[in-house]
Amino acid sequence: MHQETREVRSSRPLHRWSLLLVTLTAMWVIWCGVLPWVAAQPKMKQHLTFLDERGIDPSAMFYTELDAMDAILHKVDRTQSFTVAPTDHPEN
Amino acid sequence: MTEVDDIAPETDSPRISEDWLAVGCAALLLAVSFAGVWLASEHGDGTDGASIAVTNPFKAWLSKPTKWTESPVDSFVTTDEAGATSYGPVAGVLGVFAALSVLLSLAVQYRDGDGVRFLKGFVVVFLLATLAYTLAAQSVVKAYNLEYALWALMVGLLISNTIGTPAFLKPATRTEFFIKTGLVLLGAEVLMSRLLALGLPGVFVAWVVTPIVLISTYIFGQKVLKMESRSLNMVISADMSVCGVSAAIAAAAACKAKKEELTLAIGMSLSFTVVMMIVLPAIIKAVGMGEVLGGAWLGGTIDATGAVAAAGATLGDRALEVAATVKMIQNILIGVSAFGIATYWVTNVEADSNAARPDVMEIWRRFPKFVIGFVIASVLFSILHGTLTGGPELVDGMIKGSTKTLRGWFFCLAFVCIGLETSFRELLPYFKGGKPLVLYLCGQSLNLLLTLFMAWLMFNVVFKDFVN
Repeated sequence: MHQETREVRSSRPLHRWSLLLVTLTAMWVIWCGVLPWVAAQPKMKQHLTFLDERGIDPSAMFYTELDAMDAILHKVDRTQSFTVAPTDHPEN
Repeated sequence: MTEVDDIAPETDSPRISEDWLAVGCAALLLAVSFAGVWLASEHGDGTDGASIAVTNPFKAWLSKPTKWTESPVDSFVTTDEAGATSYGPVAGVLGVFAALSVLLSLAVQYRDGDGVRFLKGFVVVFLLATLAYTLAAQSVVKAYNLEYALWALMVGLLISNTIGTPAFLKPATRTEFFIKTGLVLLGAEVLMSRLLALGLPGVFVAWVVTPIVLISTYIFGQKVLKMESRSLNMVISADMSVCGVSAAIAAAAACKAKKEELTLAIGMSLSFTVVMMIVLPAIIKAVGMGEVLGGAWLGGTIDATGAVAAAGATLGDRALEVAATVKMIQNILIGVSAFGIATYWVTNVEADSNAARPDVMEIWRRFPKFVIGFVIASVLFSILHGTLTGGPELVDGMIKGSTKTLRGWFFCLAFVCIGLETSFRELLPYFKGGKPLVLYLCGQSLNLLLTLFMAWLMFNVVFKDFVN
């Protein structure tokens, strides 16, 4: 069955290349058109700025990829305690 | 699916096993990086404590495509506010290509005598990884935690499921080698000193609940759902209970899971993470939960590290700090998890039920050696970080300037290779009966309840005065 499918595939190279090109075109439209447009919307722009200001990369896989961790770890080291120092949060 | 397709250690290598080769390559990269940082940094005279000005000489030459919003070109060529153009990112990407192509070609040549064919394929695999990184670097994509692993898989799958993976790429599709090398590099980022960053409450939330959920979910999958694949069961359990993609990679390599199983686990994790990073903060706000408790709950339950920080930040600065720190403590658990899973696998799962228990030599033969490299890297750099004068600065400088970037590239290359070797048809049987989905949902429900209870007990009851 697998071999048969491969034979069918190999007999239709134009179809396979067309599929690839169509998908790549769709990706180009999404990444170069749709996503920049979404990023330019006021609410999204505000959200992206909010994340940037705090050094947060939501796609970070490990804590070493988060810029925000520097300040947090510095604070932890400085207080040499178990959690955040309340004095640094007068609003709380 | 054959043995060759598993993320498994190989022992029949003519010169050196793939595990030891991965350990050797990662050790070389770590040694060169640390030595470079050590030599380039200005060490103080010690009279004022740990005075050291850290410089990583490799930083400018090792990078990945940077974040962009309007045009993917911005990923490679940046312009600052003053209008000055910088080709730093493209130089960094080329630097990574140069370093990895030389190192890996020599490694493959030494092991298999196939360095030239590897290099030819590696050029294209690296280009595909660069494309994946560029897709992942779009700011909206990043904002929703759609990590590069997803796009690397997609890019590979797109090629393999349309025109088919060209034969000349096959020598360079060394998924296991890339994953294992990346994992040993990751070991240097697993610093034990971070464990007590939140004191006992953090340890209870991250290190007591997580193993309970991991083991319970695994047993639930075996006893109740009766999942056919133990490795899929384990990868989903680790991915959901520990810290998402990075834990899934480590668990999959430790329990020799199939590539399709890792793909499925990561796909589910990323999908649910997007939902949880939006829904959980909304629930926390709606019920009026405190920032510390809410942050601890987020940190212990949302899979991905970046998503935890993004969700925590929407609650407030304090929630961000607690959430990110709890998740960081969970990150450290990767090493223990990988070691525990590998040990359990070689002593129980792979053991013949009719035969006697394997002896020490047999366990050693079966044990995935890269896990040892991972643990040694973690212990060594934890010691350097904790005891060396200026250790934190030197180790952080090494990680941030070079090894973190290289580790990311290794994982990205691995996921491109998984995509190149996977057919959509091979993924379909894993969805049979919806068991993986049920497992994830049940495990995550337990995780949500248990983490909330432990966070409440630790932060609001037992250590309430201490926290306040």
